[in-house]
Amino acid sequence: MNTLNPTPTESHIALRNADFPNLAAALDYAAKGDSGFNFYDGRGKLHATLSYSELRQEAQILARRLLGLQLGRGARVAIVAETHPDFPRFFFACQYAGLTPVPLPASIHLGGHKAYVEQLQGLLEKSHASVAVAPVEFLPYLQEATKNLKLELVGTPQVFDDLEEQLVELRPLQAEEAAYLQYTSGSTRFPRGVMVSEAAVMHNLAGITKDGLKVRQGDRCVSWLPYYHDMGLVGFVLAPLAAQLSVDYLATRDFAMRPRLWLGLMSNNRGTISFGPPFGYELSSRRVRLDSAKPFDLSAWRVAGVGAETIQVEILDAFAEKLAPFGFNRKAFVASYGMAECSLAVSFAPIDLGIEVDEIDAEHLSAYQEALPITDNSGKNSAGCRTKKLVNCGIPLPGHEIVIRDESGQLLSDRKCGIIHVRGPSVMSGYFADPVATDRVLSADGWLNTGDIGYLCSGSLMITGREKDMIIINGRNFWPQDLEFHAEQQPEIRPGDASAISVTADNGLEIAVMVVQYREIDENKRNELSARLTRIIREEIGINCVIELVPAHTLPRTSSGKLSRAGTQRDYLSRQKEQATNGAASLPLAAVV
Amino acid sequence: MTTLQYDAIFQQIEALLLEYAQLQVPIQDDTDLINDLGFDSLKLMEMLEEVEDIFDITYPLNDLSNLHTVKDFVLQIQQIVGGE
Repeated sequence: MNTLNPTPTESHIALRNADFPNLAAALDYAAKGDSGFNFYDGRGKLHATLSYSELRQEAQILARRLLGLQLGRGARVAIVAETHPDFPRFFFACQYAGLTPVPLPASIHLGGHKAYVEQLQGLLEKSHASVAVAPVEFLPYLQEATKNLKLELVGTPQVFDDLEEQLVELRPLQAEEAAYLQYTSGSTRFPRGVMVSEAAVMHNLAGITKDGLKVRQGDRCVSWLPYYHDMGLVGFVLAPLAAQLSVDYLATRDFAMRPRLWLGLMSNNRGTISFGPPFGYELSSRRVRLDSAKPFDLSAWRVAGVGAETIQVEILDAFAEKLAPFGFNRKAFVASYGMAECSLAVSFAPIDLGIEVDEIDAEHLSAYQEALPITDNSGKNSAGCRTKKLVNCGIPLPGHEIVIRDESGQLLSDRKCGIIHVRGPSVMSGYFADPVATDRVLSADGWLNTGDIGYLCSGSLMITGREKDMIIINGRNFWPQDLEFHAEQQPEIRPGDASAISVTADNGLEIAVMVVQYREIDENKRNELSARLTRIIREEIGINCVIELVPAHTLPRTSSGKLSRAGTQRDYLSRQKEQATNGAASLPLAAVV
Repeated sequence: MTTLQYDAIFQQIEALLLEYAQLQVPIQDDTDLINDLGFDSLKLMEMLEEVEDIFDITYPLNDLSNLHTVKDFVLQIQQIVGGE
């Protein structure tokens, strides 16, 4: 039996930081070297490799097969984005063929068969996909999802590989064409396909590799992030390829089952760059049992990136403390801020410095939306107020601007909290086939309203919260409307009686809470409804959600009569605080993963 | 490996479920992993690591989507053990 060897860390060609006109040109160059992608299984064993030169060759052959389908330039090719060599092959076949790849989630939850099929169907419809491909094990779901849709072709990679190759010249996607569609949440009812042009993503890749991570010879990436997530796709498929770096992949679910595999890969392959949401670091420090017989060597790890959800310093501290004996250097932490609407990255904290926090007066912040720094280390300022540590997410990538505005659009000065707006060459062209949603966030002069709340201090960005209602659990984005919809389907609950929010639990991670108005006072009926809602949210959305039943007319509304989720959140927290002081149980953490 | 009997697998699974759910409740065939024991995907993954080691199997994670009750779980494992 042949033993596989991972692609080498050294590409043996001159390092170029994404200075290419499009993704196809980036692959053309990377293919001249020796580096590429490596795929590890659930036991940490290498099961496939795909060098950039193989990827280029195979993607071009597949591109010529796809062209035989005559789908038309820019037609959407939906790809169930499993961590497998077939994903980059199809993604780059689209690049060469002038088609738009649409990565679809490949995540299956406990008892979540129906929900997953509905999600796929929604995304296929919204993206007007012409064809769809899924690995064998995902095919039954894809077939179910496409039963009532009219697609040109649905099948496994093999079905596409059996198409006849056309002897035509390839015309790769050009600068102004969409490089891909990125769906930013798993929502079945509100999916939004971010359209990122080739020029935009190339700009971002250059910013990430050259300015953010300062990629150098000898760098090697390791990733367990899903390919259908912007950080997994742009950060760990496209960025390494555009800088000719080798990547070692672990499927997300294998990481979730055995988080130590991540650290094992970093250690064995001398990985230097890896990213994760705080949840990934939390899971690792909680689950990895350190065994001195099989020590890790994490000394090569120079960029431990953090992003995708609000960064809690305590989680990173715990990770750094636990892994320090194995050579992990806490200065490797790099905080970042970004979103699919800006390709991926907006800002990076400077490398080699670790996490820097701005410790501010928490009470002044909530009363006046202003972040006043405190000077001593007592955890209290001179007036004895509570303080809060906010992570410095760095300065914007070159060519990009960040401004903070209040709700009326007025520019705010340093340390004043408001809505973060971003402008620059990496910003998306818009949401696919959704001009209304696009106009809501993208102004005529190119400013993107991120919906996140933060402030600037000498050019550096700190994030304090979100204006948009999105709930982010374990790095996955959910819209509250999706949770509320399922509640409103129950006979006892009328539209407008449920409000879903996210709150920060004691362990620093976000949890979902749904506050539901319910008149019934019979304890059994109340318990039954709570249990039913918990079950439905788990089955349909795949997350744990705390259900709170409250009397009618409790949910706060805006002046125009709409549900105020900010108000719901505020009221919920104050009820919790009250209960805690009265000796009742605090946030039911048992419901939190 | 000889094909394990349903009851033998059930007993081992029962012990694991109780440990991970941190509950003291009777486990029966129709006990629902989500509703009765409070499992979600991530928590189950944690337990699956141990299940894979004990039975020396690879649990196909797509099976998760059709997993509801303890009986589903035991039958899935019996089938994997028998097939490997």
